[in-house]
Amino acid sequence: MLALSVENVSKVYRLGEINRQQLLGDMKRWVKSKFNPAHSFGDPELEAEQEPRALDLFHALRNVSFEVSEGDTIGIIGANGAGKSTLLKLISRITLPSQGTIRIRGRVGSLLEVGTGFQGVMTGRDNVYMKGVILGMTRREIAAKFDDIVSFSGVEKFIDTPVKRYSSGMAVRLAFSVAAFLEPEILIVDEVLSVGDQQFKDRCVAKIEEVIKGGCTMLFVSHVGEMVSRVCRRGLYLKSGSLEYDGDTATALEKYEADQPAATSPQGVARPKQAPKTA
Amino acid sequence: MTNSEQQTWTAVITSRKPLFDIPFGELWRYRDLIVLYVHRDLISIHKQTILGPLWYFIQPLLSTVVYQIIFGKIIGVPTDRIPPFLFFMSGIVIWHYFSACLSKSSSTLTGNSGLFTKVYFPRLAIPIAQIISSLWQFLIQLAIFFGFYVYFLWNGAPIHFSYRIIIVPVLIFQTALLGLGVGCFIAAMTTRFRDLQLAVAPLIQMWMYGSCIIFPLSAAPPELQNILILNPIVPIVESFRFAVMGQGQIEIWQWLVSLVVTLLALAVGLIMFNRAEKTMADTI
Repeated sequence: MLALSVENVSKVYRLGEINRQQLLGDMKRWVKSKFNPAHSFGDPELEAEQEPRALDLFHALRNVSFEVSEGDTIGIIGANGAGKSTLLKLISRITLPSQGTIRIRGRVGSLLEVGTGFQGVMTGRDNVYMKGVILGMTRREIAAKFDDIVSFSGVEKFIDTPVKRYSSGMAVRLAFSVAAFLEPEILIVDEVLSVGDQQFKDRCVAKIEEVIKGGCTMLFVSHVGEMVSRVCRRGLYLKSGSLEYDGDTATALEKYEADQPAATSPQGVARPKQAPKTA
Repeated sequence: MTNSEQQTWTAVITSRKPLFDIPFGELWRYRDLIVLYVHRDLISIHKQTILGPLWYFIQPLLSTVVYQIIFGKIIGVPTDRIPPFLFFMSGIVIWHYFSACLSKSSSTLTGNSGLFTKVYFPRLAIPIAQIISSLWQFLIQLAIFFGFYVYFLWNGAPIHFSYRIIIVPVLIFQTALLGLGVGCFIAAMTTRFRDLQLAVAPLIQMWMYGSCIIFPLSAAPPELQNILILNPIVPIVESFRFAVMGQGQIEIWQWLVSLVVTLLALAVGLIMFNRAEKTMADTI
């Protein structure tokens, strides 16, 4: 059974500022798309036609295709700006692809940059509920898991104190704990293991391994090769928006490492100019 | 891809954005989110204020007294035989709810961008929660209005209670939908053009002057009346006054016009909002 299928997915960003001329451009594009239904918003061909300067377009992802079976753990590897975050954003439905289709079975939970969704004036307890429903749980589900969430985070004593009085570490630990108990069918983990102290980090790794054992499909992004090879069975190596390698983790990591020194000189110069806001 | 295969997927994400694709099913699944948002709004609004919920009373009463002095006593605006206090207060209370719905909905996408660029949920849940939490404040103000209404009725003011009062919930619902529609439209546009955010406050101010809050429809010249009823708030406010106090001049067809305009505004607003939310992470 497939849990996720990514088919010919591309994501194109327009570079530069959104300005007055764009309103006019939008209207033209809209009229055109109405009269010629083959064209639509975000169609790179049409965009290229409208704006002949190819430099204005940035391909964050080019024709990426892969399939993930249920229970698989995939490590996504690549340099900064290779399209890892864009891919995860597309899968978590934060933005739409410019081309291609993504199919998902089950609930997607993402541990992208924890700490979002907390309201300072509300107590830890209220925030656990708030964060939980934002992630897609129901109040009943949260109530059932509430004690586990709180004891995992280790902030039991302060659970009825407004979150604005928490230390930043406590808030982040509580937020992570809510997400860790989401029990989604597909879990997306993006660099979150940089939170908390060593003890909490170890607990997170243990939790992730437990989740994997429970049959959860996981997409894992990390710069720490050791983490990826420990957790993931399969590796996807992204390079400048294209899927360079799809196979076992060790080979993917090797290819990534091999590209590193060569990539620094030509790409390191071009990168900052090319991708200011899409990274 | 055959049909049976397709049905087993929970979500299919493509670049296509169908014109009318409101995620009602998803909104229902996320209903707890709406409930908690409303709850949070209600408890957090008066945290660290001294008078707390008393502001619900002070704000409309203060405006009513000021309007009564300026427009009633000094300028001498006619009020369709309705006691000026009730006339102004009815308009102010409805207008206040409408403008709250409009301005809160209009800031949804830009105001929550930090959250929206991190996690997916049906964005429409936020403006819906906001019109519900504003409803609470409105209902308290409406209760105060009815308190004065009973007082005036008791003292023999030329107003009548009638069965027509049953239309009031419909008018309230219409007000909320109109505010939601216009607010969502503005929210969608502000993801790309921030100017609109600055335009909302003056827009609401201007709109109020053309909404029969401070004058009755009957005071406008006949040719202007036909233009005024295109503003859906005018028939709402005038119908409210007529239904509750039995005075004034409003025809059923005028209200039907406002209903059509409201539904149009709602449809356009939701379509634009829905389009904008899908790619707002890229444009905001």
